[in-house]
Amino acid sequence: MSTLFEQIGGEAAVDAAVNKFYRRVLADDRVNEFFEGVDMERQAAKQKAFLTMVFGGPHNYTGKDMREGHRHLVQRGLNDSHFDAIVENLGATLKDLGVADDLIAQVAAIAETTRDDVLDR
Amino acid sequence: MATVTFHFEGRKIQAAQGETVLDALLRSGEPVGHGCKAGVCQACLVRVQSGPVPPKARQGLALPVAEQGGALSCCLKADEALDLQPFREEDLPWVAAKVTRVRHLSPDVIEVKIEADLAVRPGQFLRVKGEGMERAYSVAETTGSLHAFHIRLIPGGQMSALWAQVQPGAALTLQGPFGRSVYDPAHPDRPLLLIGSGTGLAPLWGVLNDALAQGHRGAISLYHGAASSAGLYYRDELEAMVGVHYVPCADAVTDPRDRPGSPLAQALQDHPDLTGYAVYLCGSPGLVNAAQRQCFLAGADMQDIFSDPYVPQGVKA
Repeated sequence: MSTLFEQIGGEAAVDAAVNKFYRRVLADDRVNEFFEGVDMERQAAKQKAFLTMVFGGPHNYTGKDMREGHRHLVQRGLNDSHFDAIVENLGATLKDLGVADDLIAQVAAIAETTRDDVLDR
Repeated sequence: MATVTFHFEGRKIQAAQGETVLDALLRSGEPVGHGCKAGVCQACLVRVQSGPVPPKARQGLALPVAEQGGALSCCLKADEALDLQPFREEDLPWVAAKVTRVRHLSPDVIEVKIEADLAVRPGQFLRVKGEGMERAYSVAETTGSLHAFHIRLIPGGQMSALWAQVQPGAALTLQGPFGRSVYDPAHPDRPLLLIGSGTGLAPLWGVLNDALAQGHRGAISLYHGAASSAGLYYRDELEAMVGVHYVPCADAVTDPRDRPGSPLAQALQDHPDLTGYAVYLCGSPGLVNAAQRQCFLAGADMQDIFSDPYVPQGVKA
């Protein structure tokens, strides 16, 4: 039985998804204010690490990093609706790339495990 | 259990057989950055002085980083032959340099040619020290040990006082090369879009000539902006260049060949879909930051957008 990461397409899938995902997020008026003024190259690298994790790949992401990395955004009003928008963009990106619905559901489930850390609660 | 010893910054690091360099460094308490541990995020970059580097450890690295020995430590297997350093650009040595030629390109822009024993790619930048000041300048041309900068003389500018009087034979010291804005010959067919303002033309001129010299086949478009038409130096040379679509832009147009307004707006008007493009940006931070975002949203991928923000004093941000 191959892993989720292998079924999605491994690192090549991460490379294919990162630009599409980040572009969707930046174009989404529900969430793009949180990305104003950030260093885009650094942000893209973070998103690569995030996608690798939610695709079930090797990662070193911790809840502590997630909390600290988003705390300043929570103070600016980051809430469940924004988290939902990101997960929606993630799903739409994968659909664009032709990933099967059951795999997308597994990715969304992994992303869901970060919700409380991201929202610092 | 069998162990392997390699060197990091001159220190001996013990690793288990088959362990990655990153894991061994972290276990030894070395402060190495890291993220995905899977060759994706590039946070664990080190410099390999000697020793085996599998292709995976350089996959996705910018060309100049790989050329300078950069490798991802999470993809390096611990090996007795490995001699590693942190990948810190500020560790590069300062070398002696001599000014060989100075000429005006426009009333307030000079070209300074400098001789220094450094291997540089056109489009990268060097740090320059002279009379107690330090600035960074992009390399517009490089042939062997001769490198050319474009320098705007700013009235009252600290370094401008030095440049305004510089003569052939003057001694300076240089450090570098830095920066990733170089032509990549691995993609000879993709369209290139170059957008710059003022002396931000320097690295674009370098990339452009390098692309042509290396036989680039895709379309090349250059949008150069300046406050006024008079500031658009190299106009004749660029108009005469075969295979380059040159669009001069000025805030205050006094030459009928120029388009009014920002080179970014003009470029995006002509090229609304940048899917598959490589984009090179240089100029004021305002222009570069806006261009990076807008070009990405127009379809260019992050790894194909090359930019060096340029602060008025000539300091690279």
